[in-house]
Amino acid sequence: MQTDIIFYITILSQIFFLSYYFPKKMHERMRYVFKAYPPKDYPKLYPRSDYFYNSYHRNFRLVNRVIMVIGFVLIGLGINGSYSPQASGAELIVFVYAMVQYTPMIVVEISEFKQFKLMRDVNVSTTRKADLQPRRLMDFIPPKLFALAVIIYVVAIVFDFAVHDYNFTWGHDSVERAIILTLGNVYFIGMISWQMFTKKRNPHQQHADRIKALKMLTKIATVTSIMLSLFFMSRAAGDVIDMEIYEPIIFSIYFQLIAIISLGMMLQRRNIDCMNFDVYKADA
Amino acid sequence: MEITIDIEDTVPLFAQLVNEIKKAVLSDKISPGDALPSIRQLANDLDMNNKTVAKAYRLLERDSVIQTKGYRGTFIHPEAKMNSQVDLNEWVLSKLSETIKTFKESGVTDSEIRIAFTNVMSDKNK
Repeated sequence: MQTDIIFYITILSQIFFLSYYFPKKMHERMRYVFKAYPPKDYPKLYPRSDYFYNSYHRNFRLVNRVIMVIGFVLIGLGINGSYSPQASGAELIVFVYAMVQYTPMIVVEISEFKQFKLMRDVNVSTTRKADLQPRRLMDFIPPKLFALAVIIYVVAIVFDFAVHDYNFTWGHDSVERAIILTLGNVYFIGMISWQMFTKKRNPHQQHADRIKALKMLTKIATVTSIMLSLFFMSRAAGDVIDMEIYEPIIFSIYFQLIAIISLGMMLQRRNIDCMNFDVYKADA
Repeated sequence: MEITIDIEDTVPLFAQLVNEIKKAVLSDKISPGDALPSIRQLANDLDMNNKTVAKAYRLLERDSVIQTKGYRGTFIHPEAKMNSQVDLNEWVLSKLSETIKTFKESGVTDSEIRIAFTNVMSDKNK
């Protein structure tokens, strides 16, 4: 019973952060940019019509509200006994619901690609700018944070094998987790390198703004890597101290922490106010 | 230090790049020993072909404005400021003008000069 109460409180918190608080922050940010830097003064920022952006922002809010209602329905079903939070596989419900909650935010990120492509297509400027400063991966990651991420990654893998008597059998949970954790970190490095070394997607973005964005991205990726390692450690610990009934709660807390850290950093108002929007003016 | 390239300019892109880097050296915006971006990074930032940037870097290295230190990357040459003032194109132009003037004074026709020049260049390329 106590576990059920903790589970529902955690899920309520998940609904609050992932379907209300952060989507609201994102929506406010979109509206703030749209109002503070309107299309008539900053036409290069808006390759599509005002109507498109207004309905896009409205739909984003609406979809998140629908997902929030789905969350309450899931809680209702759980309380009515349609599923038990303590039953095996309940973490799958938490995982799938969290993925659904993240989807609108991921869609916003992906739609940025389309937005930048349109900005490039309508860009008539014949001048190209570049900075003569080389970019290196380590210039963007605070060394202490990077060292911490590496140490926790190694500790997570060693810990996992240690609690499973160093069982290196192919297909064993420890081996699978080590591979997934490694691939996860390779993905983070690949994503940062891709952002760092490939062509600039936003044709008007100033070098200083690009560097700031890269620094934030690397910081978020490094912290997420640490979170991932800690999460895998908790999974390994769960195998030996029978934490199965707490797994849905751990999953939920993990997804919330990822959102709080990454979206929390990303959505700070100062990140917007210190950007140079003059580059989007018609005469820039 | 930001550089600007105009893709509509009649000056070839690699020459613009060479000029921009020399200008940065002469205006002390980059100093001897400073690292330069990799060919790939600069090509991506300027939305250019890697070969164009590589050609510019080769010419700058020939002029001792930059130096490549293997895997460590490309750096501004210690004598870059002095070497940036030397314009080899200008020098070639003045030397050729002098030589052609001498030929003309000796009665050599324009077509004879052109044929001789072409022959010399094609012999060199063999």
